[in-house]
Amino acid sequence: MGLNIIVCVKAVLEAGWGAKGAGKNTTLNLFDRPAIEMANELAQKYDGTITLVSMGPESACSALYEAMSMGPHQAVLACDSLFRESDTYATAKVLSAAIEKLSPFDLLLFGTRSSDSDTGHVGPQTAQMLSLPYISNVHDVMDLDMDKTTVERRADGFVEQFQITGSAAMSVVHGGTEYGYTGLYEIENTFDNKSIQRWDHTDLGLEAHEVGLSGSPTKIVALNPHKSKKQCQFIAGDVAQAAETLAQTLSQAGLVD
Amino acid sequence: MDTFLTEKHRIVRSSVRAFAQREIMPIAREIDEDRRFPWEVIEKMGKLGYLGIQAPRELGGAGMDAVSYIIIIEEISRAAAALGLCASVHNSVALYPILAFGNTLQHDKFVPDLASGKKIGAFCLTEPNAGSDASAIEATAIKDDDHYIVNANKVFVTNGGVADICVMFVRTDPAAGPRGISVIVAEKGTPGFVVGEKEDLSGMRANPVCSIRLSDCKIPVENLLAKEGMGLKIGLAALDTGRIGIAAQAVGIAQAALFEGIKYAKERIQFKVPIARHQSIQNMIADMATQVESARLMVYRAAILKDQKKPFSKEAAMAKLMASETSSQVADMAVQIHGGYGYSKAYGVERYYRDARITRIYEGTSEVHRMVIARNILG
Repeated sequence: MGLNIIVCVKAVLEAGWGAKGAGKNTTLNLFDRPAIEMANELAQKYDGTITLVSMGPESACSALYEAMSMGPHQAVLACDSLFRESDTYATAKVLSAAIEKLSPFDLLLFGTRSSDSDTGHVGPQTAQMLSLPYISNVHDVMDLDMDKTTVERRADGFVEQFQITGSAAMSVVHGGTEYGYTGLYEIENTFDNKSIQRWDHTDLGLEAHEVGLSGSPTKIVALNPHKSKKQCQFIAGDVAQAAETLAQTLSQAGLVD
Repeated sequence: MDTFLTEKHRIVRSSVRAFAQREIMPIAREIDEDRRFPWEVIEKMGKLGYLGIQAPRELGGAGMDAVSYIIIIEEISRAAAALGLCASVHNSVALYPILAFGNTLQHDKFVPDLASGKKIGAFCLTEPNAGSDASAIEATAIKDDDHYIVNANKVFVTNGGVADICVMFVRTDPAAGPRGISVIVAEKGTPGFVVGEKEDLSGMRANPVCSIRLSDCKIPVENLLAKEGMGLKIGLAALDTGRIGIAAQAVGIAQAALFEGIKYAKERIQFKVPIARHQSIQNMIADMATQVESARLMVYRAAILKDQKKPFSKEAAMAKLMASETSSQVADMAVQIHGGYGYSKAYGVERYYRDARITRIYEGTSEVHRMVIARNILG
């Protein structure tokens, strides 16, 4: 039997070309792409199957189809009105229940964070609930074996190499490959041949109080737009003098020594 | 507009939009200035299926519908109209007639290379003395055993400088008037097939629009599409489809102009406020947005009708007329909003203004489209 890879992904709201209220459609979280790309490489190398797992409303299907068009074979959407307003802990609870249902698996991959809420919590929390070792910011899986898997991560100017045994969870950063676009053929193939399975809280064996707002230890009490103010200062005069003024200004602002 | 789109269409849009933003937008100004056909981008477009959008999958195409097609053409044109033009002409007036009127042998011979973008297609109808009046063409193809001897002088051939496969309109029976026109597929490399100099055009400068001359060019009879005398029928069918593509291209240009107009109106300060606060600018933005949305709706309608296999000729003509006129007007207003800067090549709107203008002329002028529409209405 080939490799069984699970990739957790998130649907985020689609942004337009900067136009106001561009749409309420979902798109795949940009930071999940490297995880899918790595899963594709590994699935190709070790003859594997990739299953996407996500929690979200019905509209998340759009993002899941988009993600499947990149290569993954199937998707599971944990979808239930009770899951609404889940914090990262409750989300991890739902995801880990779905992942357990999909066991056994060899590798569990996450993006590093989401482009909307940006917490980076869900990967580590899910791994913890599943009692899996978790390695963050992995950029390469050198070789994969249930007895000895070698992975590389970059941090602080170093490349760290890790060895792990058994299944593991990891978040994936971009390995430097070219940005992959999804071709039309793959999109058409996805809609013809791939499907999304929907699981609600009973499918996952979860109680209502474990999920959504009631299962969330953290609660958002306020959400206000934050506007950072830009300042633009024009420096006039001849080039040498302007350069001097620029240097002084930057130095006074503490931006250069 | 999303009301009309399926999940699949939206994914097509976000995927082609990401491609256009990252791969085309950054070079749009340079390829216009240098009149450069960016093969590196075209190759990628081929791999992604953008050059065989509606071709069947068994022949190497993406097997998608007309709505996907217009989404792709709009998004590419929004980034660089000259490349949207390449894709539109290649897909709808080169590849489509071969698919619709060609036999199995012709499909196998031409479609896989076109659909994958390994070869680029062109449509050769216009001649120095035949434009809107297509029946006036003078190119001849005289049958000689198992081939035709073709003599033709085709001008303003979009993709002409790079095309390998040309859908060529010729007169096989000089005495038969409009019924003597046929379509043969001419391949670059055939002795006597000569590509002329690139036209120095006002807009669409990244597209190698050239003349193509065939002098005593021997073309095998198996390259004849359908039957002799069916040329005008094939041409009209191809142009019906082509119109939707050009209309989508015009919407793409108009959308780009609208976007830049809005952006600049919010940035530019005059009389101590962003000019977007002035009512005259607001009126322009409102008109531009309304026109763009109207044009897009008409283009979608034509494509949806085509997908439903219903008659769409009149609707395609209306969409092309409306979208191309809109594109010129919206680009003009975008220049106006930019003031003096809009007249400078430093801003994109100057290019949109030049690119928009041709959409009212090629693949049927606005005047010809009014004729088509009136004929449809009045019978």
